[in-house]
Amino acid sequence: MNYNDFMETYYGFPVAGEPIPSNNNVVLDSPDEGFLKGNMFKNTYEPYKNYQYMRLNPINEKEKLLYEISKYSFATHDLNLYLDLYQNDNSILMLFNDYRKKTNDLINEYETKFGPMTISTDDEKGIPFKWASNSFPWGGNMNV
Amino acid sequence: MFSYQKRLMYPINIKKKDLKMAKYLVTQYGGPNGELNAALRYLNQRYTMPDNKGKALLNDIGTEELSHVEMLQTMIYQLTKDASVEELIKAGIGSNYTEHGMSFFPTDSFGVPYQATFESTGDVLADLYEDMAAEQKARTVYENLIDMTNDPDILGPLLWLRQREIVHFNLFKELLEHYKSNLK
Repeated sequence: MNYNDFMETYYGFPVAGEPIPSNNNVVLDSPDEGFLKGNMFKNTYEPYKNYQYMRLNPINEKEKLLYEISKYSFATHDLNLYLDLYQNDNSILMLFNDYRKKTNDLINEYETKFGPMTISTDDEKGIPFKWASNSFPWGGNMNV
Repeated sequence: MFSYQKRLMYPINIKKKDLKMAKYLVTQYGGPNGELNAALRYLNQRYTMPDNKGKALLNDIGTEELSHVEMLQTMIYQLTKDASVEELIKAGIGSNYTEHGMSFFPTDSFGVPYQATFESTGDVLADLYEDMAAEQKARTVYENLIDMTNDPDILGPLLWLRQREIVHFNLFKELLEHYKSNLK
């Protein structure tokens, strides 16, 4: 029995399944607000009691760049989760691609200026091995 | 495979030592509703999801939970790093020092070591109901933790992590509805 037959027999539908239609209830937030809230989907945001989500105040160029990376990377990730379910939502996919490209460009800019954020960076030129010599993210100061 | 980025998913800059809060919020690292349990639960369940929507969602949320584990570790590190042994004893986490020094150990807030208490049944509906319940329980624990502090440096990440539980709950619910209407 091949995999698709197995899925048909035991789950009642083949592995590809039917595409879930677009979710028409989606109202997207901006990467700025979505990141701070922890939720890119305005219509599902649920605050706790009267708590306001925190504002972040990056103070120097390094922190500001890291903040931009965090925002666009988060927006990309939250749309990624949505697209896992709604694979045929072209408008969200286009936005996902915009945010993904923006994130990658920002990470490249960061790595050129401040050293590797990823081990796959092209910026590792000459000793010392920068990956192991620049800071780790748990030390505070926007974690840079 | 997983690869590492040298940054946190959401920034953590706790400036004030708070050993009591470290003792309480360790449960979201190593407790039954904690991030470690969530990561393993989803990364286990992804193998028995019946289609690629389920595999993708469980894989990607499981991966995100690993980044939440790192956030909890960072919070514990920053809350405890300047503590003296005397202060640890006074805050009720002297026994962590006995076994682990200033290093971490995943436990709940009572100090009970991490156990793989999650349910993976291999039944897709049962697993997704479990996941939805787990996200709700984790949301509640974050709310209880939020009630226990006034420090904005702690509240920021806790509010953010709580919101992620809501986002994941909604996605699991949508995946469940998809399977319910497609399963014969």
